[in-house]
Amino acid sequence: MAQDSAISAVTGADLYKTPAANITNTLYGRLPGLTVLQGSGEPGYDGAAMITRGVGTYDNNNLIIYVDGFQVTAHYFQYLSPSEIASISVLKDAAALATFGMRGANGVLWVVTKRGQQSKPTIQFQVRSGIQQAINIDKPLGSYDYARLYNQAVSNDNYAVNGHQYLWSPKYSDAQLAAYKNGTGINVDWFDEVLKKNTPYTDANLIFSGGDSTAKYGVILDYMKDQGLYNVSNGASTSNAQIQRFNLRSNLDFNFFKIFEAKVDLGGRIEDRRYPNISGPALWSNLASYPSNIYNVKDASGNWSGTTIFPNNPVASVRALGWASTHDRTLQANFNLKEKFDFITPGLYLNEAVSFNTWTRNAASKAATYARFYNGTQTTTDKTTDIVASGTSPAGQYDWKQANLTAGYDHTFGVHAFSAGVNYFASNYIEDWNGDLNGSGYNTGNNINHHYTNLSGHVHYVFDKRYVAAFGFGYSGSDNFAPGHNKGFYPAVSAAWILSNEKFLQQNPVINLLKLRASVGKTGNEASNVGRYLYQQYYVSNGTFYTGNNSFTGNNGIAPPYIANPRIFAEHSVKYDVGVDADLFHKLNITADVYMDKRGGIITYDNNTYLATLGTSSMYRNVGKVTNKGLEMSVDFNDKIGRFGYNIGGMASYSKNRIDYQAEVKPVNDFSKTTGLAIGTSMGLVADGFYQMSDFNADGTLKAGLPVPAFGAVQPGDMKYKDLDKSGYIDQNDVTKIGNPAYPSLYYSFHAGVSYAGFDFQVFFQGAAGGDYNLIGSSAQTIAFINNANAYSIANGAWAYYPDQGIDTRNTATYPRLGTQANTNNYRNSTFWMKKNNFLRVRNIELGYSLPEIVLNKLHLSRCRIFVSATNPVTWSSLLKNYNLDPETPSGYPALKSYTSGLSLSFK
Amino acid sequence: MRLNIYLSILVALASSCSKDFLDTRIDTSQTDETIASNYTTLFSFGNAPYVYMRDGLITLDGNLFAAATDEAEQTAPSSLSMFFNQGSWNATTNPDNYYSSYYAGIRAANYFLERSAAYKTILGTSRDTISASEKINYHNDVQNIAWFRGEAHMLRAWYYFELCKRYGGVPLVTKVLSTSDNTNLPAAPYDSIISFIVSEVDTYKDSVQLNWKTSSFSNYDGRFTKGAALAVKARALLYAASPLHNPGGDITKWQKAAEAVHDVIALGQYSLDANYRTYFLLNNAVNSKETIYAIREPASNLEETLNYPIATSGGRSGVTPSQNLVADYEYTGAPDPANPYANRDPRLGYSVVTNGSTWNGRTINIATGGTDDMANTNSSKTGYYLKKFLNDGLNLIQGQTVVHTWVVFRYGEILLEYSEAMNEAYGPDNDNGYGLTARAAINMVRGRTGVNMPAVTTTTDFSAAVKHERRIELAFEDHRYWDLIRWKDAAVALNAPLQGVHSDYTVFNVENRVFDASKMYYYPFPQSEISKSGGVLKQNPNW
Repeated sequence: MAQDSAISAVTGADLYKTPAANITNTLYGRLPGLTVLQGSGEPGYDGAAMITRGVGTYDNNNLIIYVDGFQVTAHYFQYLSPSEIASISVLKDAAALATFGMRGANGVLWVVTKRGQQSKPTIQFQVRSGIQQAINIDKPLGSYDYARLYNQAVSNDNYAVNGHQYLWSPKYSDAQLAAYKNGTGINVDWFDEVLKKNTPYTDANLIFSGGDSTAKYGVILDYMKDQGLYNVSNGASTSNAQIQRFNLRSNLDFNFFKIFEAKVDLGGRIEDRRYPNISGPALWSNLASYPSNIYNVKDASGNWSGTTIFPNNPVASVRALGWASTHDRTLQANFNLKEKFDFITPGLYLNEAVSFNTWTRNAASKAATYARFYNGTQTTTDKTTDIVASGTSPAGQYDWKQANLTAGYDHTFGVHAFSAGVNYFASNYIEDWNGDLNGSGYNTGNNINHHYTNLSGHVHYVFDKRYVAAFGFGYSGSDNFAPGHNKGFYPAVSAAWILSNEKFLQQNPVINLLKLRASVGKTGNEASNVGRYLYQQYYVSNGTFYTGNNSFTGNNGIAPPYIANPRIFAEHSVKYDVGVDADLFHKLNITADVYMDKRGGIITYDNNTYLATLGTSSMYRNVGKVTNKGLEMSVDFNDKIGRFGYNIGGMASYSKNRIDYQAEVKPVNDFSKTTGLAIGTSMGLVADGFYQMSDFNADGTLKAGLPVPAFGAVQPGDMKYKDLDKSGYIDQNDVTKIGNPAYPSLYYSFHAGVSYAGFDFQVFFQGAAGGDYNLIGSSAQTIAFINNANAYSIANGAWAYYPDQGIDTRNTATYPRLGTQANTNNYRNSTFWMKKNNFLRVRNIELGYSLPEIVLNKLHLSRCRIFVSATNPVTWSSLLKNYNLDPETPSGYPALKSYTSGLSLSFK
Repeated sequence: MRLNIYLSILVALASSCSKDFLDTRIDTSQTDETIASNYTTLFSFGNAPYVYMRDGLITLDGNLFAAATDEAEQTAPSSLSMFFNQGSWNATTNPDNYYSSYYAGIRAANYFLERSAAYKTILGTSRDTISASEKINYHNDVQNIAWFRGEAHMLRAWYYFELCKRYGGVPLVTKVLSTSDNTNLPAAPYDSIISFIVSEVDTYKDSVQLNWKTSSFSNYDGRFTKGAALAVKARALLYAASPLHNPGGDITKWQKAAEAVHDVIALGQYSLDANYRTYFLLNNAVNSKETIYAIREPASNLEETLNYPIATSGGRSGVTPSQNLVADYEYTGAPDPANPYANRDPRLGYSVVTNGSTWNGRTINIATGGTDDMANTNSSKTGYYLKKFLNDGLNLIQGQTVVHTWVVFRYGEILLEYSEAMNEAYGPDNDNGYGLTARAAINMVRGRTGVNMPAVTTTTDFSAAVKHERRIELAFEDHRYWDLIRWKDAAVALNAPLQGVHSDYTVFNVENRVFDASKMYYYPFPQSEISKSGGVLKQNPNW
């Protein structure tokens, strides 16, 4: 029962409003307490990151997902269709999570799929289609600006060679610059050549449901096709990025012999992905960094261009390398049987359920290569080959059997409502691919087993519908830990006071529901990013030395990689939650929660206890501690005046965490410590402007009294940092906190909608604040020229002093002096590169029209609605405005906005 | 109630299934069980201590350590050698921080010695030791492990030498420390480390093979030998007798060193190679009678890629010799004003690519407009390029690779050690009954085929002549820094500006170098060690 716990829920219909290939992209801002951060927009790889109530641990932070009462992988969840979903809830506090035992600490996403109802048969058909575009593509400078700034960079590089002065020594002559400017020089916009602006998206579903008292059925068929931005056709030898998904779900309920209730749920699907035969990240990295003036797409004789420095022509990469595909087949089959023993004692029941979930992926490709030419001569050893098909090869599979046995008792005696249950859950997961569940440490490869058992129970008591008390526990065992040390007990207690049922509030016209609730309990997290089986001492190769004289033979030594800890165990989380739910005027819903999550026993590498004389890496221990606190609030108001209805609402979650202990070796200076700061805090140097010519002596050395940077030789225009410990050197000991972590601390959304006479309009905003972005993270777009990279508009503000050329930005510079050589002084983590990453997006706008009853009756329809919607049409972000970087996908395949229209019909 | 019955059934079910159900581990890496049942893993443990031997060709910036000394300058605009050059290295940032790896090597040796204590029995488990051919195999394995055990002692002694060469006194660990032992040990005094090394070599020098090349197991060449063991002892005693560790000038230390070096010579296994240029290339060193111990590198072109001139396709200039070093090569005749590199010690031409010489299939021309114009980005800052260790004519664009070797001990260096020790102990012409005087030893090195430098005749300046000869003969072989440190000459030599030449052969300062004599004669212990130690391990003075 949810009366005493913090649970937020959203319906499948709300999620359907956002057309997205991946269901995680429909969840932004929909569930208070669930922070969803957009990933890339690449078809098939567009999952969003989901965290519950902020980041609670520096180890594995992933929440677990249950569909229809059984755990599933994130990959299974991501390609469910919203049309299959009845509701998604997020379970957040100890009261709700206690029964999940050692897997509950990071929160649970509880998904329930659509079931049949006892009603006449209904058929519902929905289809929608539209176009998608990139929200933003950050394009580099054209050839003219690139060459103009490159001349500055090359001249800057020669500062030391020219006797420590800035002499103009350009690489591009004025004639070349003029050619770029008037269009006769090479000026290729790689993004334009490779990408197209619009790409289609389609999805459609058909739902049959109905039933009577004996049997109910819900059958859902769903199809989705999502294509990518590459300007390539899908043919025999080329392919755009694309995913097609075919879902079939059939949920059946049976009642028989008066005591049995059975459920059979079958949810299966096929996912077909196709891509050009180049890795997405590699392609986008080349697009971002290849300068515009290196070569034309094809040279004069029609061969693909390429050079040894820039071998991977982006256009050829999508058109001439062939294509790769993967083919996924998934099935979740659940069987549930409930026996109601009301004839023994009213309210007693027994429930047995099993689930078989399998997934397999095969890969196939057709590969080709192309010869690279420049000025008519071949530049690399690649040759043009015909397309060659590779056979299908397995690329991963898993096999998941779960069983759930429950005995429960649910009865109300007068004013006492009592419910209790005991549940035994066992899970046997075998995989060939180290994907979704935690990686396997030193046990890798095929047939990796993960076994988990959980004996849980709950007792729930409500007195007179006013006072609620509950106790729950989970006693879990995990195979990650040593036999004998692998079980944990996780209890939770909670209480609630339903004030609105008290005599003094029962007849109150304003307050329909007012409930105060509180819970405290312990849960665990058995998945660790460090690895499994940390209790077992392994010996692995520690290197090779060679013997022999005329031919060298390698000899491997073995040594332990770290010392095993036989008592390693899961981290635990003690969660405290106090919340209030209110329903006022039958129109206004308010929920607010304040929570604290104290994590302990986080698996941490013990840096501190052993010195180097131990001679090997020391052990992992359960010593880490983190405290995470926050609050959530959501408000919803909806009302109807005649035929005019409106709703407005919003939610906000705020969380802040702090590392209390992580076995950090004490740094030289206290301000360099990361313990006591938030997880993922950015550390670096404090920037102090740029060096000016007056800071240097004639021979290029810094004037006496200025601290010397340890990272390299500096010249005027380079970044100057503060010497925080006054040692006379700017070095690693001057590192301190320079910004907030990359994830937001405040996550909010708000929505508003109106409906009138068949029209309905809804707009949904979502925003995040409190995170900081390190510009060096998208180095291709922020670090100019180094490693043969491109330059972006940020480089226009570079420090430069060439008075003869009319260039003097000494006092107005916003970027260090340009250079083409590797520079370890200017491009390090510092306050200069940390920028606030607050943003607000319009996630969804939808306008729909439902046909009136009269028309519906003529067409034998019970419902017909047409709608148009826009997803992600507008984004407000300082990162986007100032640096042209999307706040959530600054580099790589961009997130998408879309414009779709659709139709929804129900037949009768 | 019936509820209780159902509950107890469930609990019984739960506990009965879960005991084995939760034990899913299938070991794909070695564990204690698999090791105990398979005697061949004992050899893997025997190999383990060797892995930590350092290849001097890739020590600093993936290149020679010479860039941190007055021998050379690293060309790359950002490099780790900068920390040494600018004097900005410290306990937190030390590019040569190999401290924990040396202790890992020491642990690997200790672990193997403890693990193989009952090696005769271990080697006999699960195998046939009775039939004729198997009996021979068993006997060979027993002998091999016995050698490995001796070698483990030698390796451990070597790692302690490398540690105390850098840090002075260090904690002395002679058994495997477990997590329940106290690892927070104080540093043992330098002299006790040296005596440990000496006693290890003395005890176990006959437990290792004398010379693999002439044994019936020549494919094991690359493992420690008696000559290498004695060379470790000799170098350790020489360093212990040097002014840095012997402030009082105790002559008996020099005498002990001289005796130890003499032991190496007396083995009679080694002689000087006839070709100074080719000795350091390909696998010539491992086939030469001069080599006492060398580290082998499988085929690659890393050294050439990093050190070929930038004007050669694929090259990056890398470590470039300094004018400070080049100026010290002696003249064999009258200086030629047009070509300062004519009539010089031939080893200059064998070790350094000078302006006007042939390299990479062209004539090097560092003048303005020349192929190797010093004004080009990433050209040598000193006007010279490295030649020693580099095989000429590798096609880097096509990825041509060759093997390389890094010589740790060679006979030429032993002779110079002998010359230095004998001179300090007995004078240049007193052989103390060893049959070889200091002067004769140094002249053997100078008289190598292809070098033929005139004999050293001075008596008063003999130690300066030895120091000079070490600088020339052992250029770039990772001796310069340690020699300057132990002679306490670093304060002058490593503070002098690093110099280069222009195309007109005028000398100029490339960069100023910094060496803080108040602290830099010893490395600082890593900051993390000092923080964790809480006062037990004391940081070296003034760091």
